[in-house]
Amino acid sequence: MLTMLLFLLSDEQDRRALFALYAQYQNAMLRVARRYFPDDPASAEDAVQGAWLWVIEHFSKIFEIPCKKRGAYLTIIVKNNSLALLRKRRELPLDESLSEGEAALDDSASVLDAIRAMPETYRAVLELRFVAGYTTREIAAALGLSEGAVNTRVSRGRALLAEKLKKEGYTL
Amino acid sequence: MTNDELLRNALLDAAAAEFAAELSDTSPAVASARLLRSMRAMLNDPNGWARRRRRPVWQRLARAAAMILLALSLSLGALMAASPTVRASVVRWVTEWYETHVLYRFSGAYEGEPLESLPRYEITAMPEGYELYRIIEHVGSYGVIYTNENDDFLVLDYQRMTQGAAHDISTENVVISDVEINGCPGRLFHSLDPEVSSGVIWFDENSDLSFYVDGFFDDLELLRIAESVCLVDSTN
Repeated sequence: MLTMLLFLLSDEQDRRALFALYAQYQNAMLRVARRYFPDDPASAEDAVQGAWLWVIEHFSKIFEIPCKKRGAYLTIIVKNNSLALLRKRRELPLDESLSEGEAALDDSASVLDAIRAMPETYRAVLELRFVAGYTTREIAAALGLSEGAVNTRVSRGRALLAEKLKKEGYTL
Repeated sequence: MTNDELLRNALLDAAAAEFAAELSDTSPAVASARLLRSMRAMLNDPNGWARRRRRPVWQRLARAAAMILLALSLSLGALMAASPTVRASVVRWVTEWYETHVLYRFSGAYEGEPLESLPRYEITAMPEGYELYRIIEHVGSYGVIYTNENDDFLVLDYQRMTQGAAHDISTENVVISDVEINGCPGRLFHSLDPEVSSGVIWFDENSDLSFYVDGFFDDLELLRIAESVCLVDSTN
């Protein structure tokens, strides 16, 4: 509990920063959630509230993200909250194999195309680890995977994408 | 820049491209009244909102049960002091205001039917998705809790307005207004905290019962539910 509280908003400046994020991105976050729950507005709103809860409890992380990428950061948090909800209800298949993820990474694809072509849970593991900073256990709990499966996806995804990133000279 | 940071930026760029339409659409998205209330609470007190969101489901349901049990415990004084029969020849209640709660203390006299004979009332306009969770019954009092798939609860609680019985309602962070439910006087307790339910109490002198309905609804819906409470079995 103490660890969690350390990441909560600490002062009025943080509160204003949260308000600014809300004003700029709340509508986009709702629309992203609705992609995953087109006929279930209540669940879409739950996913958005879950995303804000995560943002507040890990508020310092938002400042590690460049300003112009914070919208994308929030969409990733909402998307993965939506996937976690779907997973909890067993409405998201679990049988995406690693080979599918690797198949998306053929030589001709750019790194962004390769990421977009990944199976949803494969990509979600990488996003939760490298963008949201989840631990292995947190990813496993959120996506309903074993910790071994998470570690395998992380290490292989990292190796495969790192090679492409270097080839493309990918920087900020 | 490390490989992990490069990877993070690539994942962010991929998300920005995937959700470009959502991120560039500046028109307001439709949101429910419940979400708007919750978001207002979040912006007012982010840490408090986060703590309440993390409160386990069992605590929320336990709170519903506690409302009923509190009314029951307050009624026990009546049982100890009264004869085994009850009918209020003169129904009265006194409203006692405290800093954090209001206490409705009843003072009906005893005569007539046995205490055990409490008729069955039900919510006839049950909101969609709510199912029976638990019944808490005691002599002179009857409470029922319904829940939905989000673990929101809806409580119907009623009791005899007999000497020594009482009903206690928290007044912290609520707006209180006088209402009328099917011709009976009552009060609405509108919660300003989206994580705390709203409630309505009313007093039916004809049946000698006080009713209380509590749940996560806006005022109109809560009043509609309250007005739908009907006698379904008077054999008791």
